[in-house]
Amino acid sequence: MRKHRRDRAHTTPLRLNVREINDSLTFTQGTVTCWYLLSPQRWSFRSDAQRTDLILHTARRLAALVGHRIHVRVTSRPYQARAWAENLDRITRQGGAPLPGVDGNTWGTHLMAAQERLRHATLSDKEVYVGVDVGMRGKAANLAEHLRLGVTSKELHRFRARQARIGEIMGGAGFEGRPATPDEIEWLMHRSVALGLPSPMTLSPVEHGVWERDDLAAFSDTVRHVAKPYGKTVRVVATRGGKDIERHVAVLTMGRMDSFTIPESGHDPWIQHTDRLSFPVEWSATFDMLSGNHARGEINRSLLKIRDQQRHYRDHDMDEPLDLARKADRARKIEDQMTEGDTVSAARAHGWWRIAVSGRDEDECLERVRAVQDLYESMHMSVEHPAAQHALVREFIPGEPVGSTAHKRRLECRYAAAGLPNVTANVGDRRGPYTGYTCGTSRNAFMFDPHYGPEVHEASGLVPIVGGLGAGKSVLLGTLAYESTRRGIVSTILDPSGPLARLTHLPEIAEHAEHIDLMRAAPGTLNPYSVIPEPLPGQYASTDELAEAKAEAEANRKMLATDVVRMLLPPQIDAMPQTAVVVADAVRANGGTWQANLWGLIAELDKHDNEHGFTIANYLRDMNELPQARLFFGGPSHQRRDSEATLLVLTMAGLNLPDSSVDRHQWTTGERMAVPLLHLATYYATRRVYGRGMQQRKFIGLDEAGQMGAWGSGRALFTRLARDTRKWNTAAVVSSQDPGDVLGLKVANFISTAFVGRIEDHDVAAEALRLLRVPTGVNYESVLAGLSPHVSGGRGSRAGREFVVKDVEGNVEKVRIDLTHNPSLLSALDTTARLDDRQEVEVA
Amino acid sequence: MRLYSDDDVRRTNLVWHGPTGWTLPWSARYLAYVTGLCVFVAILLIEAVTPIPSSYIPVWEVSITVLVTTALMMLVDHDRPLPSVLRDFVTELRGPRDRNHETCYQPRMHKVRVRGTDA
Repeated sequence: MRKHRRDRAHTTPLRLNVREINDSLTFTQGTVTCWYLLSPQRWSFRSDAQRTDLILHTARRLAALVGHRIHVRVTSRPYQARAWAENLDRITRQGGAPLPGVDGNTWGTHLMAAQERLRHATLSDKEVYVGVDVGMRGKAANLAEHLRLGVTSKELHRFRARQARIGEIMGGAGFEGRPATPDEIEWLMHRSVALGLPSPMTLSPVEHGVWERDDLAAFSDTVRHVAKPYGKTVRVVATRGGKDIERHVAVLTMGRMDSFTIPESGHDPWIQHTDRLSFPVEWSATFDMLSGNHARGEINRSLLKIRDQQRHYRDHDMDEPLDLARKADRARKIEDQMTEGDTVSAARAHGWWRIAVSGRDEDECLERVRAVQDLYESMHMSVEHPAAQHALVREFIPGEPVGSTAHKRRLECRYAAAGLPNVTANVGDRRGPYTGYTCGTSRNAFMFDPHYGPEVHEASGLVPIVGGLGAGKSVLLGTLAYESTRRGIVSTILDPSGPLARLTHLPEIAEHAEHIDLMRAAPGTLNPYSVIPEPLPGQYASTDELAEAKAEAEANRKMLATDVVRMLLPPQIDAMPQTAVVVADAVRANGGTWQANLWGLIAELDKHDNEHGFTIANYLRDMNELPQARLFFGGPSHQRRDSEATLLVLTMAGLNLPDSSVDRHQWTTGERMAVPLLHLATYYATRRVYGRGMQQRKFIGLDEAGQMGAWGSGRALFTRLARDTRKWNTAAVVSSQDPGDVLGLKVANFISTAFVGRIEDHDVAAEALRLLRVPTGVNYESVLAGLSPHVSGGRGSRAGREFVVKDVEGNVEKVRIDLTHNPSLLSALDTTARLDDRQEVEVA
Repeated sequence: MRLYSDDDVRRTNLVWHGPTGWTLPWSARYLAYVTGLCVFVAILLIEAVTPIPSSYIPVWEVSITVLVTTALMMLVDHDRPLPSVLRDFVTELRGPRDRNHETCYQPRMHKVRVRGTDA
């Protein structure tokens, strides 16, 4: 505290160079700069051609700014967790009330836990500001400034004209920038003054989620920069609520930058590369864009010096260093590029690129400095830690002068463009529940609302999840179902293997959840005629539409009954040509009403003229003797009432699904029975979609859905489901081990969002990439194999599993599912066998 | 796409080996000779204005010049030209100092006028 008083007593006030912020313009004593905020750009999972285009577009924008000094500031804004939570609550209540939960875990506390997680995980949005100097202020303007008259309207008008031309350049592809608002520039100024300190919004929760001007000024005006002569770091200290908050900041500068290949080498853009660090850094670049003609003089002088050295070595009869000839050759090529090349290849960027690293103390800060230097070593770039640190820290504030002229870089325009500071991981809808964070090119929050596609984009709500064993499909499916349930959305999960039934025991949703084991359900539960619900008059606008829906339902029932009969038959009988004819005749005669059943179908087969009908009927009677057959033989005498629970989990304990690689001829009777059971159970699960209003949100999760693609009725169900998800406002999450199975369902055009987990097989991974609409054969297959790397020590299952996600807007990113803010859910969904579990089983 | 920096061309070591036909046994940059001369003159000036005794053969002066120049040349390279090293030195010197010899200043935002549509 004594030290703090001493700092204050000898603090020298520093008036900033910026005198006025006027819309997107900043006025210093001498210059006027126009600021733009760049749009985020995609880099991950794009083809090399797309990446090259992005670099060239950016280079064209820079080349068009020849003659201007450019300032680039990369900073971050804390994720506005409170605004997100309020919006999620509002959107949720538009569809109905969320589940109240229980004491200690209400809907409100659930949202608060997610907000806490967002704050503590330092998830923030990257913001890239670009300032372009648009001209010098005249003597009259300086006089007006001295007289404190501010910027005159005449002066403003003069710069507005130039601003319009630059605005066109900045709005083009690559930058897609828009003029920054005064509030945004002011935010940047405050952020830069308090460089390295936690953002105001992360320091204390504000009532309305937005900091007012006075709040920001009160925060920034207490900031002090304290540095020792030739110190390695600068102490940035702020006083908030009577307490000092202190960070040590070190400013690094880009040193030697060797030639490099991009995008073929697989390197990140060199500025964006720092997004891979586990701590945030800020960038500030100041450079002049020069045309080839302007930059040529310097190169010519360098060439003359090289030639003179070569002569000098010859005069002394000495061997000249080999690099002299190489440099002379390079200088000639550069000179040629500057004179003969097009505008982009001739243009040059001469300036300084700085990185600010901060830490709680000097040791942490210097450790981070080493991490940054190590990061760039792999790209053959050196990062220097220069002197004059306090001047370099000041350089980050818009309008302040260059702190040190050392380490000036001279880059070709495309090299500067290849830094691509505005590349970021942008995936998700930013309105749904917090599901995880991106873990590829950068770390951003990933919000996913499965109803975003149908409600906002008028897209399908079909969401496939594919991945190998242990990829985390069940955890993701369970998480999405849990969040939907908490939001009060009617949710149904079909999980044949059963672990997701544990969701129904979670106290916060237990009262509104139901678990049904279909294998122990009443006889006739899976009757192929009754699992398809009868369309109700209130659900359709006209009688014609209703009649059409009824005819479609009857046709689907007949198709399902045909497939179920054929699934039950031995493959040899099914393969006989007359089987299809006889079964089709019997199905036709039995009708397609919801009251029909398989006994009626057997009676029709018995009556058939062809003797083969009798054979098939006998086989079906034999199958009826199996215990599980009671589920689909027999039928209800009344329309079944569906469960009213918000969450319904359907399981099928003991279901023995055949391996898809085993030939159907080698299936056991149990396996033969399992296929129609799964088909009918899937139809049963989808019933709840149609039993409610079309606008009401519904969620359906289907595990092991890949098996459905082999049969016409399965494909028909998914086509209908994919098509109906939009009309019926339904999110249908379909999980499968094999992406080929999902593609086999012929619903690829309906897929709005897709999740792909760890897949080690190269060919299977290629199919998964097709699902994500990502180019194949360019090494992205290995990215899928490298997802969710196994963690030594057996704690792998606790770490969030990784998925590659394609969202409804076509963005593709690597995402880690994050349940750390909800340990009870994580525990309920953890399906990995552990030694403790096995011991418990043995004891039992 | 192969991208190049122009810095490599400028990173040439400009050394002077002596007059033609008289190759010196050492190799030093042109800049080192110029810097050395300035340092030597500075030392002589210091000797002239201070009561430090000096001899006709400037052995100590040359030795100090060589040491100082070598030390300076370790700081100066293509990325840190002499003017920037001197400017950094001045920047470090000119920073306001507190009693603890620390630079301590307080950037003031409140004097910045903000105008505009959403300000």
